[in-house]
Amino acid sequence: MEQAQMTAIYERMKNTVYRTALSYCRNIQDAEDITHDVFLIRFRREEPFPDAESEKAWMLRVTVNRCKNLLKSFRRRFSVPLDDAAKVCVTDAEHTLWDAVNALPAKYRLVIHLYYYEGYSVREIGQITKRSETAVQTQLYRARKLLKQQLGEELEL
Amino acid sequence: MNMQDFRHAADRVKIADHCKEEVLGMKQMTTTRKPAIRIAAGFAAAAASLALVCGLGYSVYRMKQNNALIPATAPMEEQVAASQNDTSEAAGSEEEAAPDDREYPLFSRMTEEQRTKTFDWGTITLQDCSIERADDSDDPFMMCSLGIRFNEDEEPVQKDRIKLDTTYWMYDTTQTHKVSLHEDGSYHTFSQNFIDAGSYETVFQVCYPPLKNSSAICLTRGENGEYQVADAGDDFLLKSPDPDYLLYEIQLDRLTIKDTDGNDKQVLFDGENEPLFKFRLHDLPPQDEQEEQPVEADPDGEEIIEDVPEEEAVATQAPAEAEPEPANLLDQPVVKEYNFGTVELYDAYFIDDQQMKVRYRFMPAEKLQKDPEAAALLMCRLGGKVYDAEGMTCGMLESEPEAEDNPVRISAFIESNNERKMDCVAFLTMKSAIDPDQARTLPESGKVDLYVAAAGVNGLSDQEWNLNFTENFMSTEKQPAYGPLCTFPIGSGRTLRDHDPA
Repeated sequence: MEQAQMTAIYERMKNTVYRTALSYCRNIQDAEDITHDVFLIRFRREEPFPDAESEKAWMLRVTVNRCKNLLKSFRRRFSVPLDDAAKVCVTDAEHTLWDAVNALPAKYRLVIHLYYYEGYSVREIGQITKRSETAVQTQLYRARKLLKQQLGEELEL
Repeated sequence: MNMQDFRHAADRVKIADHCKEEVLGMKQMTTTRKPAIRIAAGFAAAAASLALVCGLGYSVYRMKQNNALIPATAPMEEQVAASQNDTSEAAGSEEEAAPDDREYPLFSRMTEEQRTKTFDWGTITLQDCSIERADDSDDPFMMCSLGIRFNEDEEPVQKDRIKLDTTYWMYDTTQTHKVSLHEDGSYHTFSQNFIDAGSYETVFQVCYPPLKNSSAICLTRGENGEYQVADAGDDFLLKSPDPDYLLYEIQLDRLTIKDTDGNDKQVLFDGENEPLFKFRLHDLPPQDEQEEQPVEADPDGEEIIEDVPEEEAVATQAPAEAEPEPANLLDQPVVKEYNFGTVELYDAYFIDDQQMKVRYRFMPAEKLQKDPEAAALLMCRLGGKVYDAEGMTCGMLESEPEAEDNPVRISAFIESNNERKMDCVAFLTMKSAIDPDQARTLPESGKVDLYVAAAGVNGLSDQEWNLNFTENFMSTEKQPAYGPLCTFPIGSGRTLRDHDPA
């Protein structure tokens, strides 16, 4: 793959991959490492994608896999997550909601991120996370339930 | 506060500039150093594998040394005893007696006819129902899917809304619970465009119990995944010590199509206090082996079990027995103790020519329950080895990766809420024994050996786990350390689900 092509892919996908990794790992270093790995895998892939959406979904799928592997690893089990990402919040509401979302278990954070931020449908999230639609719906339901328990009536979903 | 706040914050998340150089420099680095990296990675992988095998071996050794086995039936017996005590204490104090268990067919054995109610406008089908437990949540959680299919000559209801008023009745042996979701009308009706033109089938997912400020009824369009939730008014928690053994009635009070202004356009169904479906999700608590199993009949008096042909009967194999003793798994659970815990298999059936569904309970060994460090090293799941008619290995059955609770991570539920058992439903898919990514079709005839697999999990990717599993259980040369949990004959490509007793 040409350097210019790689740069274009990186510029197009860098923040999407990084955000997803960060939402899953809650750790900047891990998210950066995963981003590196994902792009390395992408650059090695020679087959073209039919469209940009397919490429994005594929890269998110790889990202999620990498995150899962990392969370399973022994090192990660005993590491303490850094919440530097909270620095991105400006208003109190953003802080509160960001903290609440980050307090969710990883699988719920992921579906919330993909659904509310990346704008994927339940079916698409199912394809990315390799789960059935029912499983994704269940996770969304539980995630919303947890968020509402934490934040109460003031949260509009 | 709404999710827009989350989006605003997430928008500001940007990867650091220095990463760009590192990422774009990687390609060159790995291209030029690929052989060296591969060699190093090979050594690292070999070292990791050796460490893992040693670690796992040592764990098993330690468990053997400590003889840390728990009796398979102990927790269940205690639970049954507790349940019976509760029953006797509560007997006579309730206004409404608990219904006769036998009025309630087992969900997994309900025929299509029993699951389907026909009306002049279409049908309602009880498609699926299960108790779920989030590994990080406290309450059990029931989900049912009701499929609603309109007759083809019915007018399309595009842009109309369907309102579903539902009453759940749940019985246990101590008291009667009733929850009604419709009285104050406090939950929303469902999405517009809920049913597309030309599509007459939709699925309601009913989540139970409803919780305050949360969704009580989850709806999804059958095919396109439109998803809307409705808030519930009441708060109701399962109070039984084990919700698995509750008896359920789902009563659909009213099913209406509303126009876009919210006015009733057509009342499809009015329940009149008659339950739409009555069933129990799980078999009754296992009886003492000496006791006679009660004969089960469906409400129409049909003996479903006896209609199952012999070739679909399920054989079990006791650990010490050389020859498998044919027995029907549908009649009684199969229980087997391992040094890492006890597995009770309740249901197993082929759902199509590629998949098998099993429902089982896993109870970790007492040693593991007390030693989270040891537990963290283990995970357990079911898998199968498939043989063709000539007895040759032709594939393996593996649980689907989407099944969140499979493989069972032993540490997960020990850490969560001191559960001493975990109920699991796994869909096992036929795959190539050589390449786990390759799907296969079950042979027309042959057999499946179902195994319980446990292995170290830390640091293993899904792929590595598959290889590990394949190596340990699917090798034609090596026999698994433990005998199969049970053996299922595969016959004529038939499935239990499409079996018609008539």
